[in-house]
Amino acid sequence: MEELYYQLISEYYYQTITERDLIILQEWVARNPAHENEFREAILILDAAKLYYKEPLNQNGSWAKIASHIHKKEEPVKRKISYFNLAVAASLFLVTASNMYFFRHKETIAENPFTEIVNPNGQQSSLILPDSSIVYLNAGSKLKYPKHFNAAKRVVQLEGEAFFDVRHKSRQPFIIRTGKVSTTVLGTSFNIKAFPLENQVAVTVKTGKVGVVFQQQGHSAVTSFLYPDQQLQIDTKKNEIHQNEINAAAICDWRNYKMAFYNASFSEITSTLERTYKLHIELEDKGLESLKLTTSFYKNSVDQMMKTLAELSGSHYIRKNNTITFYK
Amino acid sequence: MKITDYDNLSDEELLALLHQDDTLSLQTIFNRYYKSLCQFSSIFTKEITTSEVIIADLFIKIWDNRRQLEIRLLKPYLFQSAKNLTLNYLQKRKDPIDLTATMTLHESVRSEHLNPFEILTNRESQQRILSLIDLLPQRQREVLLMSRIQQIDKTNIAPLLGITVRTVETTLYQAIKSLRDLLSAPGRKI
Repeated sequence: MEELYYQLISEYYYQTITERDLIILQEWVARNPAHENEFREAILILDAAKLYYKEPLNQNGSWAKIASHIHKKEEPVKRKISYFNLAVAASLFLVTASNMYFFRHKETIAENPFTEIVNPNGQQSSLILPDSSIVYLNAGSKLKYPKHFNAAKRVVQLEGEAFFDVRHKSRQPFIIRTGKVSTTVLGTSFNIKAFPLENQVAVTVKTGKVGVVFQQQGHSAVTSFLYPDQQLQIDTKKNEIHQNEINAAAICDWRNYKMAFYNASFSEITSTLERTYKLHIELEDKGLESLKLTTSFYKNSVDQMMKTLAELSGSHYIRKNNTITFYK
Repeated sequence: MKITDYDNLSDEELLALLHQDDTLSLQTIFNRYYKSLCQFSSIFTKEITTSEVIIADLFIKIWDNRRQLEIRLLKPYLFQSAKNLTLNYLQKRKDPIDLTATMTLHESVRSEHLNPFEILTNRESQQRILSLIDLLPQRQREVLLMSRIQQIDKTNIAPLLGITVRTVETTLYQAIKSLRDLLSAPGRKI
């Protein structure tokens, strides 16, 4: 297609085309069915390019940050418009009936209130912390953080899985508490997987350097420093620690619904899928639970994934809505 | 003054108020341009959440410098600053090139045997196109994506990339052509 016609199509699309040029374009399209195809394809491309963009999710949070900066510089005069009420009201606060259990433990410390984000199964979210660090919180997980970080250290509490992109602050370490294991960083990006029922904490480093501390019987011991593409796996029940070299990008890709399993047990895989896609998966044959599989999924349909699992394990499955049962 | 009145003010009127320490004018500018600026920044960061942090910082800087600022036209200033801040941020982070993303894209292109325009629905075609946009040569990708942001047109894009308006036009056509070429299965003529 000559450049002239691209130009006309583009002007047509952006509605800047002159009447005379519009006639030329129409005649060209009508002349040949191939031209009509080319026209349609170019329009499709221009439409698709607009879909490239995601919607910003944190406009209110961003404004809250700017507003608090503005007010820090002002004299302590009585504020007429409280930006903070607007920002806090708009902060993400997800609750479902089945997760009400978490809220019995909500703390209300007068000086420093906490925010708690709870993701039910099937829902991932991202958020910006008071220090501008970014957290991607996985499904079936919850994160607790203060409205203002302590001047000496930034502390958050995680149950479940999250990917952190921590802003570098050399005099204010960032600490993630996951039960008996604490992870300390200055500024870096890494993934933490700590579901309480699994008795396992896995810290995987994408960039930077991370220090992991494991509390054993009241004593803290600096367990390891981790570098990019290194992972620490801690079994909190057996008190065992394993350090692995691993592809960090693959571990952190659940944000894109890309999951990789290396020699993982069948039940670990099904737990992950249950959380991510809000399913209920039952294994009729208990022997399947500990079967080790290596596979990966990327934006597959539920049926595709179940079919893959069935093939790999030599089993069958039946599906009724979101309940799946595997049997031999 | 009620907030609704502010929404009707021009960029230049808002700038004048900003010079006089008016926080509502900053907020109006923020509401007016936040989404476009975040999306513009995400062309380079490829992650909207990271861009949101950068743009919030931009507005903080603008507020801090409001008295010294000598801005003639607001919109070009905003987008140019957003670009500078974004590229600085990426420089400091020194992200290793995300090879996994590129590889996956190559794989998904190779695995497709169908002409997407004929056989897939419009929506599926669009998904395919989206995955290929990041494979375009840098300049073509930038021009194509910038042209799709609400508030900028080719006369804004030109100074942001340091090229002429004419070059913006030809690069856009090249981008569309490249995508059509990328989408047709190898060895087949449409």
